[in-house]
Amino acid sequence: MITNSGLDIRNLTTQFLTRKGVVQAVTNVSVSVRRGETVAVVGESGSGKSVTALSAMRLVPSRQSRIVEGKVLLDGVDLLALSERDMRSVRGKKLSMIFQEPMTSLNPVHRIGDQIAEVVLAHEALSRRSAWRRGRDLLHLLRIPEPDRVLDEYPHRLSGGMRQRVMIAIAVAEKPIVLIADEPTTALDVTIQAQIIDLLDGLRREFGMGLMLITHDLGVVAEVADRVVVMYSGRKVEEADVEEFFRDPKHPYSRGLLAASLRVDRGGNYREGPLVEIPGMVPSLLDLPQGCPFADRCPRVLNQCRSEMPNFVESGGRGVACFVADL
Amino acid sequence: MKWLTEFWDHYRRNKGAVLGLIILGAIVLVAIFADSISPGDPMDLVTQPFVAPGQDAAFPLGSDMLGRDVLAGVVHGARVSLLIGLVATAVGLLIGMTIGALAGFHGGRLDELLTRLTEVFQTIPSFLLLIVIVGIFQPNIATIVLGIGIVSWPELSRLVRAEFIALRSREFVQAGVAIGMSDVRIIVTQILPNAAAPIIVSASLAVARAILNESALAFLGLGDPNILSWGSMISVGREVVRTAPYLTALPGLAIFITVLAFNLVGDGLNDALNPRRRLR
Amino acid sequence: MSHRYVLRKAWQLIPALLGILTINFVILHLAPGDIADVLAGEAGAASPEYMAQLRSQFGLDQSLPIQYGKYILSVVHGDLGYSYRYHMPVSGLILGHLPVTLVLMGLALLFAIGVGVLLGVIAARHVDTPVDWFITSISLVAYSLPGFWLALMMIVLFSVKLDWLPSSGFETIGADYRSWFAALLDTLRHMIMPALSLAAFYLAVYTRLMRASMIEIFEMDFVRTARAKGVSPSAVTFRHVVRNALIPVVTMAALHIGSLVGGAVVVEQVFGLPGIGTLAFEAVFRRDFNLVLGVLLFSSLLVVVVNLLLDITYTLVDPRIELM
Repeated sequence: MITNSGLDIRNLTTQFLTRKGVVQAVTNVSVSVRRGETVAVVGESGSGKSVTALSAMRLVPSRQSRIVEGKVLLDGVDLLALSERDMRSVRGKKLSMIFQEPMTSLNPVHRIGDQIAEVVLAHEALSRRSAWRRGRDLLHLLRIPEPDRVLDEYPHRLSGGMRQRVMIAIAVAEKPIVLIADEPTTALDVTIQAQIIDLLDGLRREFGMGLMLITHDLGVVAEVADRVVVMYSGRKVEEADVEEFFRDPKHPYSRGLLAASLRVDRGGNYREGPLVEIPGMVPSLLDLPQGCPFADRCPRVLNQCRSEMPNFVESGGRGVACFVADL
Repeated sequence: MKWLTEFWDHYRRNKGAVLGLIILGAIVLVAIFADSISPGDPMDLVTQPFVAPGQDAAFPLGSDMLGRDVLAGVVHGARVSLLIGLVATAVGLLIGMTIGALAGFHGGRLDELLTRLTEVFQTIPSFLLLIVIVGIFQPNIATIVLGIGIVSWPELSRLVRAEFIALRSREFVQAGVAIGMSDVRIIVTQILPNAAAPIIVSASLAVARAILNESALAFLGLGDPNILSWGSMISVGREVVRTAPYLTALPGLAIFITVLAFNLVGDGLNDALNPRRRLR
Repeated sequence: MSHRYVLRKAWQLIPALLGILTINFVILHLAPGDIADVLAGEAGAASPEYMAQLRSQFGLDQSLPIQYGKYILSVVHGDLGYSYRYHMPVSGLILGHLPVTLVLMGLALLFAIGVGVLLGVIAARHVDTPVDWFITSISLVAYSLPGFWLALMMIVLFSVKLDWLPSSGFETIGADYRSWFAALLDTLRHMIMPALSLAAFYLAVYTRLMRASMIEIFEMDFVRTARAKGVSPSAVTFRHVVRNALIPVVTMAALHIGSLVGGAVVVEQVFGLPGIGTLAFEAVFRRDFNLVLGVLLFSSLLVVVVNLLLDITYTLVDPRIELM
């Protein structure tokens, strides 16, 4: 396997400029997704997982934010160093993203066919007819019935699940190297969620593309992910292969997350017992404590944790940022 | 009174709004002290005709073709415009709020009927209707004020109705119903205070439009013939617009500045009172 | 789109139309004095018998409900009455004066929407910069100007001082243009100031609306999707943002038709244009009631028709609205 293939986010730090001050939403985060593998990025809202993805795509609003540090390598090319024009030829073609809200992610006044054709025409010199034909093939691939009728429809006539499939079709139309899926099923019915995840997994295999799956649903992680990255307060706190992660989570936060979810292991074995919660709240990014951001909620906190920031230490494919955990 | 200081803090941030308030204050002062600034009747002939502005220190804005003092006209005209603008808007508000409240609060058949009525009045071109009303019933202050009130109530009633519909399903209103408050009490004590903000904004903008309407009427010759207003000054000055354009320019400037002030204040109030509806 | 839909929409208008007719009728009969009084007043004194005869001639001696019924009936047949000043049927008069007003309104609306949308887009693209402040300030000024005053000031500048444009009339009298193009140019020269004076207010409204609309839509999810596809910024702006931001502007413009007619009255007066505004205005002064109400009715009808047309074609503007 070529080591520089796929998406390699290195030491990314992104800041937002708000009226109340500078907020560092992502601090020194490194995530890599190789071709053909699924990496799950897990964390609560506010953990910085979406901002990481948006930074990689360079879709963070340029006036209110800045990427202060880091590299985002896609097959060895640093996306952050590209001109905006070159970056446009990467977006949608080599690196794609789908978002959480399918109900509002499609333009209400354009037909589905045009919206799929748009991404094709942005990157290939084809006729509109050929682009629409590609759309039909994609809808077929995504198992949407009556693709010709759907192409002619407007988004408001489609269900949430259908719209998300269209979004996926748009994202894979150019066979990207990596597809970033930011909580693709959170806004959908439970019954549809599994279908969408299956689709994504199938497409990954078929196209040999990398899949970065941002989610807070550990069940999904257990089903399809190869590796897990856990984020908290804008930092990476743990990384591991999925099986090892579920078997032996190192970071107290990871342990808390696993304890709090109903289903734990692969194969969907239920764990009986009362619902466990992680006490406390995520600290506000405007008012971060000096040491480990998880210190106030950590059951194994030491004095050192409150005054010093633990570095991310890794060995043999596993990594954790914690004074208490041992690799 | 803490909300007052809070409100002023928000309002202050919009510099245009503050400017509007200052201008408005100045105009109101001029209107109140018109008799001190320019004593006497502005329709009196006090000097030579066609004195140019700046030519004679006693008549800084010059005189018209009959020798009337332009400054006196502008200053006393402020009174007329403000008075008519405010009273006409008050009339429109009265009608509009009554109809809007009834429709929004009760819903059902009454709402349907009143909405149809509002639609009818909104379909008829309002300025045309105004001309017809004032023209047919003879132009005087009463018909003008009533006329402007009649053409301005539909827009206000729509707003009030929308507010009432939104508010009547809120918990504090339902609580009032549950404890047996009479309809009138609920409307006055519960709903109106919450609906006040957008209504006040609307009213401010409505005054601006009323002043424009009044001056247009006067310009067309449908103003009260016994009263000198800015619009009538322009109408009179129009005949010599080629030789003495200042006779139309100055009163028109006065109208513009006044209307601008009301619009600035209205916008400022909107920004300060409805942060979620910012026109940002 | 079905014929049934159009019919149903038209059917729903009947109560509104009836309402307008009723208001017309009410005004007519509330007015101090009637046609008989006016005619008699002009003839000098008139004997009661003469007045009675006039009244009977005009059908004014019948009971109100009967008069109302007759009025409705005649309007439905297209008979808007007879202008006793012009000695012509009202409908004929209106149709004769209509083209000038339509040209005026059309040009004004075209300018207001075209330039308004453009300025709104520019302001939105450069939010919070001097460009934005400049455009917003101009809008506020245009919104506060009395139309007739703007018209007069333009005349002072362009007719009196610069002598570039004619200050009145719809066309140069006595000119015989060979080509239709020259005639068109002549009309445009006459109409440009009137159209601009009428348009100013609406220009401001559409600029502000478009700007606010665009700012709101820029934040929407589907715009982010478009960027994520690698679409060029201009395509994002126009194909996605502007296309959606236009919807409220179009809706608002349709609501302004009635207001435009009112504005046209004033502008036609200032520029001496022979449109229905002037017709109505003079009719008011000369107490030609039939004509006044005829114009009032006709322009209300115009508003109704335009709104009906917009309703029917609205799905082209916003596909989310479906015709059932």
